[in-house]
Amino acid sequence: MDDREFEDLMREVGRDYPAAPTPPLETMWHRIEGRAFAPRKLTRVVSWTRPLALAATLVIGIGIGVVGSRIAGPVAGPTDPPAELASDRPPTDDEPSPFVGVAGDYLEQTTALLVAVTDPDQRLAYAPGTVRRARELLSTTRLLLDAGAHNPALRDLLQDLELVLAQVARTNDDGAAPGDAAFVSEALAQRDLLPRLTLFLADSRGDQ
Amino acid sequence: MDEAQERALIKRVLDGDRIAARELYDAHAPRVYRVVYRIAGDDVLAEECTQDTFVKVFQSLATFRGGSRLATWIHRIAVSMALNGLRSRRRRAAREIDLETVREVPSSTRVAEPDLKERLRSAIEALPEIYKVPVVLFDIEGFSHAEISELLGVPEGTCKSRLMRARAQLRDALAAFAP
Repeated sequence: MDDREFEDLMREVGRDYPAAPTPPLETMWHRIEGRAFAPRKLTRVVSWTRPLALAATLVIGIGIGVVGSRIAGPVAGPTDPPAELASDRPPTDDEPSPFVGVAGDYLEQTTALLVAVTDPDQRLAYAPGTVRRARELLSTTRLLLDAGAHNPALRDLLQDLELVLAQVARTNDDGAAPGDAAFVSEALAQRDLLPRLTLFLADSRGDQ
Repeated sequence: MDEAQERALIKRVLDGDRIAARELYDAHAPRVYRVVYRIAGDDVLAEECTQDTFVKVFQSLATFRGGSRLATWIHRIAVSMALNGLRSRRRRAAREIDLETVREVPSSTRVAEPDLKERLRSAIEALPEIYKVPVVLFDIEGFSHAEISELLGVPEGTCKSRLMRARAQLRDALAAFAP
């Protein structure tokens, strides 16, 4: 088959390609109308987001100490040299690492944000403040990466979080850039971020 | 609908005119549904994605700057919804059609299946998504390279090269039947 025959065949196939069924325009319109023009249920977002954030806080709170110790490396015994922390200045035994505190707050807030952006109510448009929060968390992510998270699993997690947060942060302030919310959900799913956060923390708890 | 009419319609929708919203929907929904259906190959998914697309359109219309035609902007959302829907469904179903299944038809069927058009249709359906979507949009739906580039968010050159590779795969799939 030469090029011309092939192009003719493509044109024919294009013309005869199986037609889509008749779309149920009325049914779809009623559903669209109900979703697009109904007053936004901000209270529902709050009522779901807050308990989830609190739950995330509880889970993360339990794991934070272990996360910190993972970042810091093995727990220093009486004869071990002091564990090298990510910050430039090694902490003393009675001085908590500022990195651990920042990482704990950061993980807590990031989990809450990721839970919020995967909320079906926010799949099409984020709640006010979400994008601004993502930008702040993105800055923190980069600071933590620059500070040197030496644990490979945590570093991988931070790098993936950086990518997803960057996607959320790129969205317009009203969360309305076309398709962006869907891309973010896709990226979250592809990288299994929420399960990895959970597993990371659960794994850390298991080490306690 | 010319650009001036389009702008006027958008303004009415943004002013809260529900009838204008319905006009906008009526003007674009049939083609959006068809494009999504041809990408997704499934009427349920096409329905869901069309609904999601228009919810997004009405919620985001204020951000439409007019840099492209409204139809292109709406279809960009629709294609994105369709691809995400398709990927989610594929992940759930954990099965993909492989182009090889088209190539691996036993040679004894060569005589029994002379219908090249049918075979080409099957080969298009079996193309990997990255190639199938440009073929559906260009060869079947008649979008231009520039429009497809905007719909998929890739450079026009990338869009053309994907189409070329798609055609090479399709010709390859047909080679045994029409040498």
